[in-house]
Amino acid sequence: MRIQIRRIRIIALIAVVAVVILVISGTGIGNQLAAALMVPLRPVAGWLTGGTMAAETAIQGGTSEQSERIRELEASLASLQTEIVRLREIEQDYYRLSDLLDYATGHDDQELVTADVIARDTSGYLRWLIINQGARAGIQVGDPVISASGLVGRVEDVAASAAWVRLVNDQSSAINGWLQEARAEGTVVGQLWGGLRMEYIPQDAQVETGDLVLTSGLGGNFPANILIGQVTSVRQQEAELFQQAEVRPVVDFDHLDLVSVIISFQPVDISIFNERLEEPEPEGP
Amino acid sequence: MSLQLGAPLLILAALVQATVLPHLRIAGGQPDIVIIITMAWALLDNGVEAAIWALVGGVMLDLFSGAPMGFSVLLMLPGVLIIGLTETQVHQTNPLLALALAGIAVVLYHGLHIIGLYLLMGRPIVLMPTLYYITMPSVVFDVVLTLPVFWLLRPLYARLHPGGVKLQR
Repeated sequence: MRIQIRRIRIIALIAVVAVVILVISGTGIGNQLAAALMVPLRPVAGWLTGGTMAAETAIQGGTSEQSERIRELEASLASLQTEIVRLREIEQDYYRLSDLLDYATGHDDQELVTADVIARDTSGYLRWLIINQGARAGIQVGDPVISASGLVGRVEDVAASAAWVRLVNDQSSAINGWLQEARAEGTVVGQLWGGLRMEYIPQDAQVETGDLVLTSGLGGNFPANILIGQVTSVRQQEAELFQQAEVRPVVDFDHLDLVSVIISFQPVDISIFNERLEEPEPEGP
Repeated sequence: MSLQLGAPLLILAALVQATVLPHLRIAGGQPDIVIIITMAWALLDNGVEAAIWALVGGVMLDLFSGAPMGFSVLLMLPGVLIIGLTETQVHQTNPLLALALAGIAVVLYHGLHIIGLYLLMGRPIVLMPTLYYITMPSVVFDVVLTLPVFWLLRPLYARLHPGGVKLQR
């Protein structure tokens, strides 16, 4: 009995230590601890991820020549998809006689940092990535992360030489998006099984399968018009205020090895709303 | 002595869990090898050393996760405690009991994980899909692999604790 009490005491002591670590984890000390632990582990993690990706590619893709060719074609496809998005935008703008948006020079305001994916979340419940660039490269919490195909996620935590990225398909991710053809806005939320769903789409929007989903830029957290995914099905019920659409992400999150972090961009100007709020109320007659 | 060997093993296990195992997911689940090793050691040990292993392994797991540091340690400790409260010799001679204890510990870990993510990170609980897509496959992996790991760690435990409990064949 005495031995068991001793065991319970030791386990309780470790629980107290864990609670202390938990409490300091969100503070500067916790971040420094994580950064210090990450220094020796980062190269090993990068090496293991690189090796695993290479082995996976070799197993799935046959010879290295074939895999190289597949990579080239995938890069080319991603580039063409981006081009299609851009051209469709120009077309839509043309038809609407809109000269407000100029996509040809639309990305000059963005500054990118390229990083390797070195690890993935150890918990099956979270969809996060760890990349090998951090504060030293200018990355900050909240920075958007993209790949050649489209939106990957958002930086949630930063150490000196590593950053933790929440993927767009994480269950707690919610991003303002819009449908390119339907010209309707909504919120793109991550699903437990790794997919995406667009919610709060107005009932009057004509959403079709195949419609592309892009970031709207509202809220200022993401640049506008980054490709997120493609609508695969639509759920519309008259009794509900909004419709929903299942969205297939354009990014293959399981095979990401290289990403870019947008460390500087010009957010959508929402200052007009502040101005309206600050406007004095008109005086009565 | 146990920690000198356990710490590198757990660090390596966490690294493998963050880099290699996400590519080997089957039916949405993947083995949680840090938990498997910790629970297997708890079955061998009386729970005290396993609790220290849980501390090291848990911190390493959280380093490669979006969850706050210390979170996984707290999730593993109830399982370690339950195993530690039983008599060591019983589950060393009875594989079924060892399997049952590992099962309880792993289910506790995953159950607390879902609740903890809700409480600490405000993550919504979507119970049935979570159980179906993530928890069930992971629990099966963890429980099934705990016994082989337990058998693999037995000689090591015997070597580290020569005056300890005599292992039965």
